[in-house]
Amino acid sequence: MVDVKKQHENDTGIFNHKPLKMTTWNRIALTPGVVYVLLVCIIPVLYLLRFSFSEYKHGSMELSGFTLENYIDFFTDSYYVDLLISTLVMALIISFITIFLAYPIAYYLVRVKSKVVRVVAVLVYLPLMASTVVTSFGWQSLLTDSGFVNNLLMAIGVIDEPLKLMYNRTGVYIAMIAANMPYMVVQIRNSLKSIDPFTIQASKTMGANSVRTFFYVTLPLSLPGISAGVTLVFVSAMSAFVTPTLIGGGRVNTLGSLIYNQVTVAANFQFASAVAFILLVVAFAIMYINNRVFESKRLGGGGR
Amino acid sequence: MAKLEIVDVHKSFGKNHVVKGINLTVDDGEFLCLLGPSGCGKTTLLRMIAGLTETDEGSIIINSKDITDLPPDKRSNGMVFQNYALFPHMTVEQNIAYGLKRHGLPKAEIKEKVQAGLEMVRLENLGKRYPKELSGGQQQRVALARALVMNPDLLLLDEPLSNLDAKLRKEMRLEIRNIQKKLNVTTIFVTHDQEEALTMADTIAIMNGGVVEQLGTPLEMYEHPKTQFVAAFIGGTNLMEGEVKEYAENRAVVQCGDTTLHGISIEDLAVGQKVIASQRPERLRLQMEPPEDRNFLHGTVTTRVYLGASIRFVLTMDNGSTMIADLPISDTSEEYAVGTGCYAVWEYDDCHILEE
Repeated sequence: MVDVKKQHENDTGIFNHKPLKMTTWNRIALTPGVVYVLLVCIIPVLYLLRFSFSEYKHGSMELSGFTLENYIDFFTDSYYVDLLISTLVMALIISFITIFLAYPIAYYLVRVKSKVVRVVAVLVYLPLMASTVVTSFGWQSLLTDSGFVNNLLMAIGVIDEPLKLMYNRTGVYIAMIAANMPYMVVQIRNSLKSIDPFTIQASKTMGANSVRTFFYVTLPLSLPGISAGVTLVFVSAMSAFVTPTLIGGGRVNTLGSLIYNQVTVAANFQFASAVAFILLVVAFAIMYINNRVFESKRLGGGGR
Repeated sequence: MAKLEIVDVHKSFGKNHVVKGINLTVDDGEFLCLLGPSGCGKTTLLRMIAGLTETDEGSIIINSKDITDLPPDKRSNGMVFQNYALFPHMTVEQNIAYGLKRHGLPKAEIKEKVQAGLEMVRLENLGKRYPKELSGGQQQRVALARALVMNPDLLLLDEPLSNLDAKLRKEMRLEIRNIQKKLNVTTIFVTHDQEEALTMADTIAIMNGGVVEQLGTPLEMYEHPKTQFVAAFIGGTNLMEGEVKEYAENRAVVQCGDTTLHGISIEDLAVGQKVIASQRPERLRLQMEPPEDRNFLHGTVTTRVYLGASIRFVLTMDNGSTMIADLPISDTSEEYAVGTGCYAVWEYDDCHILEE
């Protein structure tokens, strides 16, 4: 998925190990991890898949019968289809805005060498250290009608009435973009770091000024990082439900909040499983498309 | 077509004074080699010429135009980097066309020039490949073509051969030299490899500690090293410390301990001055009897190394010093087995007296 390391491998040859031989020790070392993934990831997903084809029985977690009804319900009801589309659109918008906000920060973190950089890096990565629930409540206190942002704007006379920042898409976008920034910054930063600085100097000696060098060399070579970042942010935004629920206050519905409501309110576990599986398939599809678009030969892959 | 003048340039990185007042003139079509150990300032000087490193003091002048403060993209240089610095996301053709496109040449002309560039470096069939799909030597050629298609004032080469294997390196030396001659492009080549410098350059500037120690043709460098550093850096050398006893018209008699040596000097020397006598291993001969009218020193053979065309003898002299003699293989080489006592002999003209 991430081309950056691959590029690095090809450049230096450091990682050109011979294929690992499957010795007893290697098997023993691999076992705990493989077993864990199997138990907590693969098996539950397979169970989820099977469960999504079960017949509806209120509040029941049992596997019963085989039916396509859950999927048919989803795809024949325009409410659900619209929800799928609006969720994807939201994830797309969040991804794009995040790219434009994260790129300059990542660029700064890589190119500028000073102590301030370390402080900025910590600030950028800080949201990773708090849970989504905590940050969502934090955003609530900032974004409500009598919250910090509105109070400040009214105090300095920019606005007369509070801006509606909570319980709508605006608030959800603000909070989700902030929460996803670190992932995008990390990915872009890594790909910028892996660019050979001499290629940039070479571009300059060939008559390209800084701006042209950026668009012809730096930006294309950092696309794998953007791609990886978009994948992470898109999938995370698409499946989010805590932030849309807490900031959106029930008025911003996503597939994530639909699943949550189907489980907690409607107790329709079968339908919830089907929606969850649709979400999973879409996420994989996005990752696949992303890889096909970006992992072409010209972006660092290719033969030896 | 360009003449380069470097006038008293300086560069410091923090407290580290890397380039300390260098003056050089490189004529149109000349191939100048900046030769020196790592940290001598040779790469910094090259980067200053390219505009990639700012010049603290002094000026860099091309064809009477001062370019000291121009950014790299406003200069007309073709540069080849040590790691080639090809664009990994572009094909060979796109790499070579890059500079031409930035200069806004018409498409047809770009195509023509790229083709000519590929032919020049004999990569006609690899234009559609990506750099990753090429060998080191091929990447090197692409880098060279990319630098030359723009018809630059100067061709700047920063240790371009150091990542190649020994055989390829020797081939590329000739190839670069031939292309350079054919295009008659003024070239500055940075290297720490004295053999590279001797075989490729019209002129060598030996650098040490941020200054040019000596400037001259490869022959001058080898035959008449000016300083101990140059003598030691170019070719192997046997050095002996001594004191000038007599001096007249570039000929000196030097007392080195118990030994009296006759030699030549390109600098004026004073009687009593401390000097270094330098002699090349391949100019030494071994013989059993002391000679007349030649320098000699008695010692014992301690090691013999077979070098193919010659044999290297390491001798421990009676005064405790070590000398190295490279002798062509002959009928008499067998006489000087390890442990044999003999005289190392060399001509007065092969003994270079250098100021300490």
